[in-house]
Amino acid sequence: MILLILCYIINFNLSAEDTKAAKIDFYKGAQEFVTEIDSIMSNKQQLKKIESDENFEGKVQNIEALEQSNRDLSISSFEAYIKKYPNSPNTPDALYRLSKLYYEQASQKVIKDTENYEKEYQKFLRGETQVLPPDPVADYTDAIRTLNRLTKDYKSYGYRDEALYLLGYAYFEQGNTAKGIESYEALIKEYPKSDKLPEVFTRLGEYYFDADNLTKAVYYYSQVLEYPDSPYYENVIYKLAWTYYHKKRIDEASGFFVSLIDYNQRKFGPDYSSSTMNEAKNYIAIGYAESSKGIKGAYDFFRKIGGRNYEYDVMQKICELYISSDRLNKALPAFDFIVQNYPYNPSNPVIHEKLINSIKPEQNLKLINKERDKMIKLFGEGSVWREKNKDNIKAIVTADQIIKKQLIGIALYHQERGDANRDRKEYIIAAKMYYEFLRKYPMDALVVGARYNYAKILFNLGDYDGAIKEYTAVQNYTEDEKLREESSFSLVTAWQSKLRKENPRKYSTREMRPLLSETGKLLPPNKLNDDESVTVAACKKYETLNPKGRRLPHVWYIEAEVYFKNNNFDDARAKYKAIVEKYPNEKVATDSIRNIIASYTYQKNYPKIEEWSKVLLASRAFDRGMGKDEKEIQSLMTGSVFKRAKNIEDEGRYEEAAAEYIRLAKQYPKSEYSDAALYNAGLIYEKIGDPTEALRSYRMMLAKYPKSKHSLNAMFRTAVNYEQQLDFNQSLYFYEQITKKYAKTNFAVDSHYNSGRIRRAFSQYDKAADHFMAYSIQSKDQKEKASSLLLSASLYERSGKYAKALNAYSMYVKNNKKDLDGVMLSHVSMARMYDRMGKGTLAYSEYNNAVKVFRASGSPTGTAASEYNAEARFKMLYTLSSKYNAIKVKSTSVKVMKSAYENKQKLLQLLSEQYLKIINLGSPEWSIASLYMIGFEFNKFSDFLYEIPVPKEINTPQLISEYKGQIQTQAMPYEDRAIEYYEKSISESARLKVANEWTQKAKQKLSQLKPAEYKDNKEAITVVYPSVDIKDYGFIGK
Amino acid sequence: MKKVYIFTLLLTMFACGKGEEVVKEQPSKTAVQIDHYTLAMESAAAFEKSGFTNNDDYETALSNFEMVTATERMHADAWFNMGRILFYKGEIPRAKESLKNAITYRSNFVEAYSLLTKIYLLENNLNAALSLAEKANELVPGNNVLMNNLAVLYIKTGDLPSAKKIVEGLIRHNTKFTPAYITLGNVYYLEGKYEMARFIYLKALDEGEDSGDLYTNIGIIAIKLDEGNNALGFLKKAEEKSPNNPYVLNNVGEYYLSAGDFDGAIKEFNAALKINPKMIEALVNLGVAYSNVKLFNEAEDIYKKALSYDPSFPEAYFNYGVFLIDHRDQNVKALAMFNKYLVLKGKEISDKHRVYRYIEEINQKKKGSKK
Repeated sequence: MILLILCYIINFNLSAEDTKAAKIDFYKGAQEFVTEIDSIMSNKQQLKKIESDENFEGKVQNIEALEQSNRDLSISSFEAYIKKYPNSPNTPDALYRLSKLYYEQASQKVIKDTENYEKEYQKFLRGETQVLPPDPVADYTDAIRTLNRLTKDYKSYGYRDEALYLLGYAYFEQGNTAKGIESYEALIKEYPKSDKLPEVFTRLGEYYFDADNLTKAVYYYSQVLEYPDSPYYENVIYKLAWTYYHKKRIDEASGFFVSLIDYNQRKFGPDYSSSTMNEAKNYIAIGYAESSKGIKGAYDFFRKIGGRNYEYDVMQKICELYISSDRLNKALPAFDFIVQNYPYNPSNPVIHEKLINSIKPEQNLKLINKERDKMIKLFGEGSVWREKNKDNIKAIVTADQIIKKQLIGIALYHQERGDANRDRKEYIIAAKMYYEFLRKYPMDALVVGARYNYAKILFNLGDYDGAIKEYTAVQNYTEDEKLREESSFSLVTAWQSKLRKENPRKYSTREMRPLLSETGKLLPPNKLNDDESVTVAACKKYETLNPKGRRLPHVWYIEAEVYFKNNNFDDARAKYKAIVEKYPNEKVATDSIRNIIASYTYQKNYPKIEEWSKVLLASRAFDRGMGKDEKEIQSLMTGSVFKRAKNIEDEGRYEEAAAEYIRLAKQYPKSEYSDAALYNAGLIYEKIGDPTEALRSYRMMLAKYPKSKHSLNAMFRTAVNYEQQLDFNQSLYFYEQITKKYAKTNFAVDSHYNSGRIRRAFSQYDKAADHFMAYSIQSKDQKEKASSLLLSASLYERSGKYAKALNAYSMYVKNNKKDLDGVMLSHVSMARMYDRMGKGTLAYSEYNNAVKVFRASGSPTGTAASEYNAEARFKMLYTLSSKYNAIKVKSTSVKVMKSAYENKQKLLQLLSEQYLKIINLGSPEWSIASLYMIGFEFNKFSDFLYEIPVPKEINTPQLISEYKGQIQTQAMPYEDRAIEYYEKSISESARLKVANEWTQKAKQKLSQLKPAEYKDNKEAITVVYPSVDIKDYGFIGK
Repeated sequence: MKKVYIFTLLLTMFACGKGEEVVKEQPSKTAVQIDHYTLAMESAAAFEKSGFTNNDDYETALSNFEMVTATERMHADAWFNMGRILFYKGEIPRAKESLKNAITYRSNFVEAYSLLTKIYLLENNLNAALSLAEKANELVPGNNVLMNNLAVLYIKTGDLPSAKKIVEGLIRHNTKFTPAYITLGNVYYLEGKYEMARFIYLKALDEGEDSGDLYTNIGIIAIKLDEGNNALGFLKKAEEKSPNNPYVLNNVGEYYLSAGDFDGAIKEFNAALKINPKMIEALVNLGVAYSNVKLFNEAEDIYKKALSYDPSFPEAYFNYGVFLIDHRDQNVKALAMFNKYLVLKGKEISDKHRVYRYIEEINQKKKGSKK
C-alpha cells in the first residue's frame, strides 16, 4: 500500500480526485503479489509505528528510508528469485514485480536527484558554485529491460497487457516515445478488451495533443468516448472540446463542452454545477465571442442542439466578454440580441447596466444617455419585462435600483451638457429627469442630492423662485455639512439673481451703481424691498448655518451689494470692511475695497477714495493682480485727488484747488493726471492773477512731462504768461518752440502770429515777416491770411528784403484778386522797390500792371486804389520825362537845333497833357505832384533854350547879345508857365488842405524864380506827444 | 490782437480790475440829502454828456452839490464830484479845494488824489503833482491807480526808468490794469522804441482799454513809423473817445498840419489849449500853423507864450528860431534860439540835424554882411 502511495506521489503528481481512481486501477493487477511481497518485507509493524508518528516531515523521511530499505530488500529478493528460478511459473510475476520495483527505485532516484539538483541550482544562483548542475535524468533501464523480457518471453502471461502498459509508460518517462507508442500500440492491438485501453487512448491522445498532431489526438481521444464509464471519459470530452477549440472549430468544440456539461448533469443532477462545467460554458461563450459567428452563432448552436437551460448564461457571458474587452460595437448588438431572444430574462437589466457602465462617458455620453433611456423603456414601469417578472421580486427590485441610478445618471448627463454649453434644452431635460425621480422616489436616499441638482438647473434656467424653493429645502433637510453650505450659498446667489432679473437696472452686473436721480444725483438711502430683505436674510442665515463657511466673504459681499444699491453706504461699507479685515487675502477683499472706493466716489468723498485706494494698493490680495489693475487703481486714486481739486476749484476756492493740484503732481508724480493737474494749477493761478505761480506750474509740467498731451497747451500758456509778464524774450522763445515742435497744430499758427508781433515790437522786421508769412500760409481765415500776407510783405520791404517782399506782394496779387486796394498797393509797392533797386523797366511794368488792374476794376474813384492808380500813372511818366530831359543841343548846327527844339516842344506838350490827365483823376496828392511836374517841365524847356549853344554864324558881340535877347524872349513864356504851375500846385495844396513834398518843391522853385515873393522858408518842427496823463475815473457814487 | 488765446478749460477771465482798485463808499442817506445829491449827480452826468459845455447843467449840479456839502460836510463823494465839474468848467482853484475836502473826509480817496494830481499837472506844477502822488501812494500803498499816477509823473520828470519799473511791476501783478500798459507804451515811445510802444498799446487794446489816450498814442506811432494812412483812423477814434483830451486834440492837429490842412490844425490846437492853456506841444504846433497861414504876429505871440510856459521845451526854441529867420529876418536872435535848442537837446541831436545847416547859413550871412 505504501508503495502504491509512493508510486502515486512520484509518478503522477496529479490532482487528487481526478486521477485517483485511474491510479488505483492501474495497480490493481499487482494485488496478487501483495502477500508475497508482504512476506518478503519483514517489518510491517515498524511501518505502522512510523505512520502514527505525528511529525510529518520526519515521518516522510522515515517512510522514505524504510521504503528504500524495503525496496532494496525486495529487489534483491526478486532478483535472487529470478536467478534461482529463471523458468518458474512464477517467474513472470516475479519479473513483473521486479520491474515495478525497478521503476519505483528509478523514480525515487529521480526525486532525490531532483532535490539535489534544486539545491545545487540554488547554490549556482547564489554564486556559491560556478558550474551549473546537470539535469536529473530518470533511468528506467532496469525496469524496461525486465519488462521487455517479460512481454517477449511470456506472451501468455495474464498481466502482459499490464506489463505492456508499464513498459510503454516507462519508455515515455525515459523519453523514448517511439518505443512507448509501440508498446501502447501492441497493447491496443493485442488486448482490444483490456481495461487499460481508455487510459492508453487517453495517453496517446495527450501525447499527440502535446505534439500538436490534433488529428491523431482527436482519434485517440474519440476512442475513449466508447468508454462512458471510464474515469477518463469526462476528461477526454473536455480535451476534445479543447482540441476543437484550438482548431477554432467552435461548433464542434461547443458540442463537446455541452457534452461535458450534459455528462455532469446526467451524472449529478440538472442543478449540479462545477468549475469544469462553468469553464465549459465560459469557453463556449469565449469561442463564439472570439469567432465571427458571435452571439448569433452561439444562439444557432443551441437551437441546433435543442437548447439548454444555461444557454442564457452563455449569451450573457458573450455579452460580458464584449463589454470587458471594450468591444462596444459588439456588446451593444449582443445585448440587443439577448433582449430580442430572451426578452424577459430577469438578468437583462443587470447586463444592460454593465453595458451602460462600460461606455466611457468622456467618449460617448450621448450613447450612454440613449442606453439609459432604452433601459427605462425596457425595464421601467409599464414595460413587458416588468409584467413578466412581476413575481420575481428580486429582479424587480434590482431593476428599480439600476433604473434609479441611471435616471440620476441621465439627469446628470443632461445637466453637465447644459453646463457645458448653457444649453437650455439640456437643462430642461435634466430638470424633467430630476423631477421624475423626485416624484417617484420621494423617500430615496438620493433625494436631497437630486433636489440640489434640480435647484441648480432651475437656477440655470432662470427659474429663481423654483431654485430658491429647492435650495431652501436642501438647506433645511440635509445633514451633510458640505451640502448645507453649498445650498445656503446657492440660495443666496439665487436671491441675488432674482434681484438682478427683476430689477435689471438696479442690479446691473456691469457696475456697482447706487440709486441716482434722473439728473444723475445721488438719492438718499432707500428702504429695502421684500425681495432685498429676504436676500439679506438669506445671507444672514448662511452665516448662522455656516459660521466658518468658506464663502462667507462672498455672502457678505452680496449682502453689501444690496445695501450699496439702496444707497445704504454705511451698511454696505461695514460689510465690505469686515471682508477686508477678515479675509484680506481673498480676491473679494480687493473687490470690496473697490466698492468702498466706488461708494465714496458716488458720494464724492475724494479724500476717502484716495485713502481706500492706498489700502487697495497695499493689500496682499491685490498684489496678486498687479500690472494693469494697479495702474487702474493708481489712476482712480490720483483721479480722485484730481476730482477733489476740481471740486474745490468749482467751489471757487482757487488757491486751495491749485495747492491740491500741485500736491497731486508732487505726491504722485507718475500719475496720469499729474500733468493735467499742473496745467490746471497754472490755469487757476492765471485766473487768480498770480502769473508767477502759473508760470511755475506750467514750467514744472513742461519739465516733468514734456510728452504730455497738455504740453502744447502749457507751452502756449507759458508763452502767453511770459508775454503778460512783459518777459518778451521768454515768451518769444516758447511761441517759436511751438512753431518748430508743433508745426502742424493750430497753436503753431497762432504762435507764428504772436511771434510775429513780438519780433515786430523788437523791430526785427524780417523775422517778424517770416512769422506773418507762415501765419498767412497756415491760417484758415481768408481775411487774416490776406492781411498777414500784406503785413509780411510790408515788413520784408521795410527790412530791405526786397526779394521776399516782392514774392509776398506777388502772392498777394495772385491770391487776393478781389481786394483792389491790396492788389494796387502790392503792384505799386513792387514798382517802388524796383525803382529803389534801379530796375526802371520792371518798375514801369508793375506800375503799368497797377493801371491795368485799376482800369479793369472799373476805376472806382475816392478809393485807396484810385490813389495808387494816380501814383502809378504819374510815375510811368518818368520815362517820358527822362526822354524829354535828355533832349539837349550841343551842336551849333541850326538844323540840329531846330530838330531838337521841335522834338522837345512836342514832348513838353505830350507830358503836359499826360500830367493834366492825372490831375483829372482827382487824387489830391498826385494832382499837386502833377501840377508841380508840369511847371517843372516848362522850367526845363526854359533851361533848354538858355543852354542852346550860340550858332557859329553869330560871331560878333552885338549879334550874340541880340541872339541872347531873342533866346530870353523865347524862354520867358516857358518860365512864366512854370511859375504858373508851381503856384497852382501851392494854391491847390491849400485848397485841398494837403501838403506834401511836391508842395515843398514848388515853394523851393518859386523861391528861386520869384525870390521876392516866395522865400525859401526853413522847416519847423511839429510835435506829437503821447497822452501822458493822469486818468480821470469819472464821477463817484450815484 | 485776438491771437492771444485764453483757454477756458477751467478758466474764465476776470473782468478788468479797474473796479477793484477804486474804494467806494456809499454816502449816508437822509431824505433831504438824497434829493439834492441825486439832482446834483443827474445834472453832473448831463454836463459831462454835453462835453462839459452845458452851463445850465453845470449850475444845477454845482448848486445842489453845494447844498449837499453844506448840510453834510463830510460827504466825500459830493466834494469829489463837485470838484470834478469845477475842474471841467475851468474853476481850477475851487476844484482843487473841493478835491482836497474829498481827501480830507476820506483819506484813501484814490479818484480824488488822481484828479487833483491831474490838475497840478495841467498847471505845470510838476512838483506839487509829484508830491501829491507820492503822498497818495504812502497813504494808500499798493494801489494800482496811484502807482500808475506816480509813473506818469516820473515820465513827466524825465525819469523813464523809474516809471518803467513801476508800471512793469503793476502789469506783472495785475495784467488787466490797462492804464499801466498805456504808461509803459509811453515810456517806450519816449525812448524812441515805437514798435515796442505800439506792441504795448495794442496789448492794452486787447485787454479792453478803449480810451482816447490809447488811440491817440497808437495813431502817433503810425505817424512815427511812416504809416500815415493808419494814423488818421486811430486819431479820429481818439478824438471820438476823448474829445476833451488835449493830447488827442494836439495830435490830430499835428496830423492836419503835416497834411497841409492848416485851418483844421489851428482849430485842434486851440481846442487843446482851451483845456490846457499851457500845453507846450500844442503851443509849438500852433505857432507853426499860424506861420503857414501867414499869421506871423499870432505865431510869434504863441512862441513867446510857449517859451514862457516851458522854458525847457527845445522845439519851442527851434521853431521860434525858424520863425525869426523866415519871417522876421532876425538871424542873430534865431541863432540864439537854435543854440538853446542844441543845449536842451544835448546828445539826442545828430550832427546831421538841419539845425546845424541853419546855424551855418546864419553864420555865412553874418560873414557876408561883415564883408
